[in-house]
Amino acid sequence: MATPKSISVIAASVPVATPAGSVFYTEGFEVDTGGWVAGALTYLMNRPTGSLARTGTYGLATYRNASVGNLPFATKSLSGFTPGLYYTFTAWGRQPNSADPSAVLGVEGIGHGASVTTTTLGWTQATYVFQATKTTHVLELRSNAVISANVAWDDLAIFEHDPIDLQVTEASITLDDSHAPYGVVTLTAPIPSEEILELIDPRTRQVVLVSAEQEWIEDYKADQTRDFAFRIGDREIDHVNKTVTLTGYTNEFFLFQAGLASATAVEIATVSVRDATQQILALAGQTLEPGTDDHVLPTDHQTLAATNLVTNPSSETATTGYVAVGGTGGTATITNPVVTTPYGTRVSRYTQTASPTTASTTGQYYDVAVTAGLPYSFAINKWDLNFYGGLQFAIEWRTAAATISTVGTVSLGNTAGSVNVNKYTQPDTNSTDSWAFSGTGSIAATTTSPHTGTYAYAVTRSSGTANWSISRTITGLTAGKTYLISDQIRTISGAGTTTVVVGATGFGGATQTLSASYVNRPFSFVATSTSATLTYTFSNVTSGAVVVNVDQTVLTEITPGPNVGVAEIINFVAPATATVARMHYRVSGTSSAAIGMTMDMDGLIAVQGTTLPTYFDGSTTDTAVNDYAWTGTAHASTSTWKKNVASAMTINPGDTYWDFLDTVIQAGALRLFADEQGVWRLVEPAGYLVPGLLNVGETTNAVEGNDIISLVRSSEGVPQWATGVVIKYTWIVAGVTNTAYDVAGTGDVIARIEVERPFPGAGAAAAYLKRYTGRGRVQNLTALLDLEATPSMALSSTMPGTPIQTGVVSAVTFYWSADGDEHGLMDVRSRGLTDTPETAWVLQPVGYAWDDVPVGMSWPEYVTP
Amino acid sequence: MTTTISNGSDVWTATQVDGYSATRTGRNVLHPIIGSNAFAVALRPSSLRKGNLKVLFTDVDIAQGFLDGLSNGDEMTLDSTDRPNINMQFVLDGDAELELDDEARRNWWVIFDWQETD
Repeated sequence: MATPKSISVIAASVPVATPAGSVFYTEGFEVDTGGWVAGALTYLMNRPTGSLARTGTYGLATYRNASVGNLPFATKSLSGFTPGLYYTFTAWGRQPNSADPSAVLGVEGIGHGASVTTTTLGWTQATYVFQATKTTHVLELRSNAVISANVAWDDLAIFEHDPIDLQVTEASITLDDSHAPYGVVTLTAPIPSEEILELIDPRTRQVVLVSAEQEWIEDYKADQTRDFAFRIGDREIDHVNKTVTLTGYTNEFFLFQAGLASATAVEIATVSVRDATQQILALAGQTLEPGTDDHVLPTDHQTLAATNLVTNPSSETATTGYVAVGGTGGTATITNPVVTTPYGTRVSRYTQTASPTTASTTGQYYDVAVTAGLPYSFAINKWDLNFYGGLQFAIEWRTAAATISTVGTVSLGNTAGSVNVNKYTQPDTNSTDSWAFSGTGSIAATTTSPHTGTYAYAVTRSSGTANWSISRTITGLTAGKTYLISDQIRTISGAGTTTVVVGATGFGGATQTLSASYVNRPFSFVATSTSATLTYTFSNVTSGAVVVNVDQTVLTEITPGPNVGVAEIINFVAPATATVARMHYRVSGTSSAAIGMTMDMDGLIAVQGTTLPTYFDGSTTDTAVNDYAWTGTAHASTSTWKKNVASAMTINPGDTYWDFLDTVIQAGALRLFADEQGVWRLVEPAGYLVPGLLNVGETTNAVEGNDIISLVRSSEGVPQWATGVVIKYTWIVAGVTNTAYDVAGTGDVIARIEVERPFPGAGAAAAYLKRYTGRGRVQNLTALLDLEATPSMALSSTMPGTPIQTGVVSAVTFYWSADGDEHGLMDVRSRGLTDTPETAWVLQPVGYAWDDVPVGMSWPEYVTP
Repeated sequence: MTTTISNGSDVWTATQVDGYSATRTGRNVLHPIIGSNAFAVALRPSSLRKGNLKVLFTDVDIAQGFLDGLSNGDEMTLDSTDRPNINMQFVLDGDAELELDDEARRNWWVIFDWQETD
């Protein structure tokens, strides 16, 4: 065998907040939106030009559509960050008004920079310095503009701060899946400058970045690199040898240090270990990687999380409580047609059956009982308008009989996003433009009293009492599209009252009584073919001549804007004397309230409190964690959301977060760890395997090895292997000591564990026993350094005089040294070893299929190819 | 044709340099492989030069000043126009000795162990 020759290199550095270093990311939006997407409640995002671009041709604009507590924002997921390194995020913002001119940059899960006051309609640069915790982060551009207007952004940049290098003379890194923290690094370096010494103070929660390279000469093995990030937990200066030694840990270290500084215990309102872990990590500024491994503790009581005060929140069985407001002179209906949404199979639908005769507000509302002086939060979780207009969600505080005030008005994005195309415009010329007259009389272009411009149509009934009309066919329509007729109509002469019905053949019409002043009589319909005939039918029961002017007739094709999302109004205090919060969902203006206009809403929620939970009602499906119920008749009473709770989910004063979490995680036979990149995982240990196979063998890479089977206990009485485990829990409630036992296995070789916490249910003993069982036979191996070696990776070892052993890597320690003999080596510890024949499946070449074995060949005959 | 040694602020000019020796220690590690007569080699660069230097001064005050300079714990720079290959940055690594020349009885030797630093 050729002599393996390698070069092992270790480098360490310490991130610094200043100064900014190399450019990591830039975006000027000149090509597209650069992967930025509109955040929740930000309904429009586009690339404006002109003054909304700072440099070049384009910028990025977000259009406000949110209530207090929700700022218009855009987000982008960006990868390539180095956990631990500092980055400076800068962007230029331009605010539309002077009310709240600010620009805020942020990173999801980490935080936001200071709000930068901008010059109204001017560009101001905002900056946010943050420390990456993952390789992928979601960036945020935020503003607190309070009106519906474009907030523009341009010239984004992120700079990566160059870390300061440490001159490492000795290093080791241990990764151990049976130990917390999972990773530990020890670095020795000459005493650096005072500036660096301050940087590596453990009290600053400083990160030390370690980068390892393994280069093999003559292609013995592919070259390897691996990066690690550790939190410095210990710094020791040796003034005799002039060295400093740092010990760093993976992020579990946070939970070892932080805990509950309170005189009273805090209950985590959940029975889910995953849920509790997420909540605890959030307290430490950490996030848990998504996953499904979980354990539910036995519930012993519930806590009320929220009550949905809307008694008929999804219109499933009736329209009770939903009230239509048709506008002045207008009419409307409320129905609950079948429309499947995440909130049920029906929605509350407002339908305009007659348009208002004057500009007015139309829509539907729902009343919720409130108590003066308390804060409330509201949401419509699904809204849909088939039309366009100044769509709003607002809360009106009321007494039983009268209004008090309106707050939190949210402008929804349908208007801003709609696209309107004129398909027909009445010409301002001396022509009747193919309009046909029917009845006794005529149509003619007239210069008498036009609404706008020079000409209008004079539509004349010359005599009699019969109705008269004009009509015109419009082509170029699209079946299924919504069209709006708008116009200006008035009487010029004639006795009696004249009424017009504006419509399209086959679609009915909108009626309006005319006067000597112009009015707009809008009407909408959905086309069924590529053409439609517009009609104006006039009537007047008084006999004689009548002249009516028709002007500014326009047929517009409507493509509604975005009409999905959540409309939220959060944290408004009910004023004195208020007993009702009226939840309005409405549009304003006559043109928006044309006949046929529908407004759907669904998933209403109103809660007493300063935050808004995810929608629920009494029919929401219960989970192990959550219990939902109606307080009375289903769909006709308030709903409660209760959280199932276990007493073990209690953090006692002075407990570290790890003290708390470890107990419930063990009860679930789970494992929580943060890897060397700071990624937190909650996994079921037996099911969690790292891809790859580590081979350690004689004649190839094994330098030392021992094989241990031992029944000798440690000086503390802890066995290395056991056939049974007993865990004794003791805890105090109201001065009374409680005791419970969790038992697994047999008593031949017993392991006893004591825990001073509430009993979380059985499970931990079985998990410990499984771990003990895997340690019946252990190999400690020393091999040439292989940077791919990782705990939970499959292991195969070949030692002299021993059958091939296969199992799992439990721990690995890498060594580097400027002078020491361990340089370029690693220690590997195993678990779950079994004797394995050479022909075993696990030892076959990658990609070798069962079918590749010749038919009729037995395993003893088989030879590995 | 001069050899100077400086510490950044003071410069000493040696009358003569004698007895220069330098060694570099190899740092490669040989790992024996189980079941094989071969070694795995972990390659590492050798250490920087270290050795012993003997420098002559004709003035005892200058010699004494140089000895003190060596003893201050500063990094020194040796610059020889005659033997540029011995130029180096170094620190004192062991003893520094001031010795009267036996023959001339008026020249002074400064003898010291050094370790190259850069």
